[in-house]
Amino acid sequence: MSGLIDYERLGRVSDLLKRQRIIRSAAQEGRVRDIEIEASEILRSLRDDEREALDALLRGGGWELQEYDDAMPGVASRARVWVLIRDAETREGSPLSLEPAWLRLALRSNETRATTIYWFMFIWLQTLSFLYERINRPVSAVSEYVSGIIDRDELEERIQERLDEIRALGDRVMVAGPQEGDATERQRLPIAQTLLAGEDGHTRASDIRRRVGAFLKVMEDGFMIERIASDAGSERYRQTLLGAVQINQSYSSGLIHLVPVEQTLAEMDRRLAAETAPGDTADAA
Amino acid sequence: MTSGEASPTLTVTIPRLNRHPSWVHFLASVTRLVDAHDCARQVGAPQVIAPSEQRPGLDSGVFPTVAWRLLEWLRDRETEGALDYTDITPFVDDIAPLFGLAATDVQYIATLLATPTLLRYADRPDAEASTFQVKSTSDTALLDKQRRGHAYRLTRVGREAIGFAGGYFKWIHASAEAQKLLIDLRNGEYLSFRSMAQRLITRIRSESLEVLRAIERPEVDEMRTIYLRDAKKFTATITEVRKVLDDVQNELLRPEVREDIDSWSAGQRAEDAVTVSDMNELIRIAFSALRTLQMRLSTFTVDVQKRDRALVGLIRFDSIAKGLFMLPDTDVRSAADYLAGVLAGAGPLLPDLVAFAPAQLERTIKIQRRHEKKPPGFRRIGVPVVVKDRLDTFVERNRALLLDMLGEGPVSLTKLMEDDRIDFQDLQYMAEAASLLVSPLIMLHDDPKMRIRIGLGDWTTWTLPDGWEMSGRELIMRYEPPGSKDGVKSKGRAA
Repeated sequence: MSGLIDYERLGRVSDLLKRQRIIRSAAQEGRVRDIEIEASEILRSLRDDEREALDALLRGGGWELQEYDDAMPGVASRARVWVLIRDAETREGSPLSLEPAWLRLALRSNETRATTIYWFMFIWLQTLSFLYERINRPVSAVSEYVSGIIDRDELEERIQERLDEIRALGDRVMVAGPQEGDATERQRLPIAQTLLAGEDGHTRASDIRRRVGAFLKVMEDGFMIERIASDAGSERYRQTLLGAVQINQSYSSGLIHLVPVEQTLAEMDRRLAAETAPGDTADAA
Repeated sequence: MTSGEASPTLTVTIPRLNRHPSWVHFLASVTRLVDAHDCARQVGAPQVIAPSEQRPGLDSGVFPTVAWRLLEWLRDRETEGALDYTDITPFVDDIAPLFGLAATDVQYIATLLATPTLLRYADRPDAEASTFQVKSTSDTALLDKQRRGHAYRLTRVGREAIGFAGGYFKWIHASAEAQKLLIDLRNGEYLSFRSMAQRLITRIRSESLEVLRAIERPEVDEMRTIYLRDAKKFTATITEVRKVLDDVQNELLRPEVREDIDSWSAGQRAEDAVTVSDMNELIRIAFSALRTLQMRLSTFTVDVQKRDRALVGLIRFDSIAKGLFMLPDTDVRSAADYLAGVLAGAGPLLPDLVAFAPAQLERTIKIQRRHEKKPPGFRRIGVPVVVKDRLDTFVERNRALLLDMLGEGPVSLTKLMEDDRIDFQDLQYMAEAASLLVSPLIMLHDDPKMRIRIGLGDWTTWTLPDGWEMSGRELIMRYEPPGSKDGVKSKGRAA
């Protein structure tokens, strides 16, 4: 049955979606807010023409609405989940941006935007390493979003380790440089230099802790990760369905360009080999 | 070949979907349960360390294979009619060279299968019981051995093992499994109906998840091969299962079936009761799971045909992070903007504005006034020193003059501000002068025979010393005896 499209209802859903980008009709743990339940009821009751109108409305702003049922792991029994996915190509006209994230991650008010972005990217890649690489999960494996865990202490340790490694490497590069003791070689790694230098020329553990704390909060507020119950004293998070779908969706248009060419070539070789000899992976014993 | 000479072998890691022989599924399903039985853990020990993934024994895996082949060989002898002990020498002669074993190795395996072992498990008679019982069985030997020689036969447990392994639920059998629902329903086996329905739902969902994995992990080519090869059979099975579920649903609509279920259910304990509504719900879930499976299979098939999926393998994010450090300055000039662009596509976007809805605006668009330093009041600083308010100071300085002016007639705000005799040095704002008029108590008036009344006059515009204009109702203060009819009684009356 068709009728007049009630844009007031669509507007309410669209408004909530742009605020939190994920709507659940029920949760496996904890309680879903009334406003979310109301929006999910509207979404469930939309006629085809209303749904098309909503999709068009969102598409105009560079968004795509995707719907999942309880066949997706992590979705409560008989529940539905809607996620609002950003079209990676659309940059303008959105009320959502990363500017608030930069403000919250900066340790000082006069910190340069580039410094904050380097830090954000560095911590973000490490969390992705926990969520994907550690559990041998490709970015397209959305349904495994419930498996990866980020432990805050572990993340901080990992970051400290990487900084130490780069610091050691930086020293070696300097020594092996054309002019021993000259800082010119170090100048050639500006991102490393930015991350290694804190307020007093040395990034301290407390700086890392503050950055990681702010980062996790921003990710949580952006509905990319959610905190999960864990032992007292530990702070653990897992990816949300929104986070997993968004990474998969935008991988080809952004993240892929960060993958070293050698890795892409090795992957292609591996796939070619697999296509040549489909079946089992084998090694002589 | 003797046992010391291992033949060249190839270790093959079989992907999940590349089906193992059914006995391997059976063995895999009980391996860790046997470990749980055998673990020597002290009750209450604080350690929760995961057990080793390694198992003792030979890496070649020949012994379990020989054991299973022996069971199957003896089953075949039974099928042929031999229910007596059978000499396994022909089996030993065949199998030993095949796996590079000695005859004694095979005989050892036969003896192992024929040796009983004690299996213990804990059980609670019912949910309310406060203690549990330890139950045990040593009925675990799979073979009976003749007293002398190498003749064996299957025990009941041995036959069951083969039966369990043979009963492995393959998707291709799903419609036959679904038929069991109808059989149970028609025979009043309602508890069995519940467990069969749950088993079917689990199987459908598990298959659905496998298809999803095949969609999401395009690099797992084995999955593609299997699904593409079996796509027709797969779809046919879905159709058959749906048909059976339709039949079950129709059966559940029959009044006599519903009555029978209701009367049976009434006589059961709460945890055992299965109502018509429970059954309908199980069927509904099965239908829903089936629909999802069909949709995923369709997506998968289309996806494979398109063959244009982006190359999405395992990404070494940690390496990318390290690579980021190593970016030379020639590449880094626009790196921040580029990285911000990547994050804008996949990162945590947050609202630029704090509010979107009018209900949330209150705190955001309300003008944030700079907090003026509070005028000194009656605050105590260390020792009790009284610091006077500016208004108090003003009143103290001008009190006599103000009362005189009031004695002469009503005093309006305009009159007050324009009177040159009044010293305004203590007051900084017009509002403070106005507050004097609306708060006569601060005049410290203590004559019980007189009252100070406050009223509103006409609209007035005041030009302030800094050039700003301010408009509002005139404020008028009167000094008169109580009950005077001459006072300002209503707003808007002219001064």
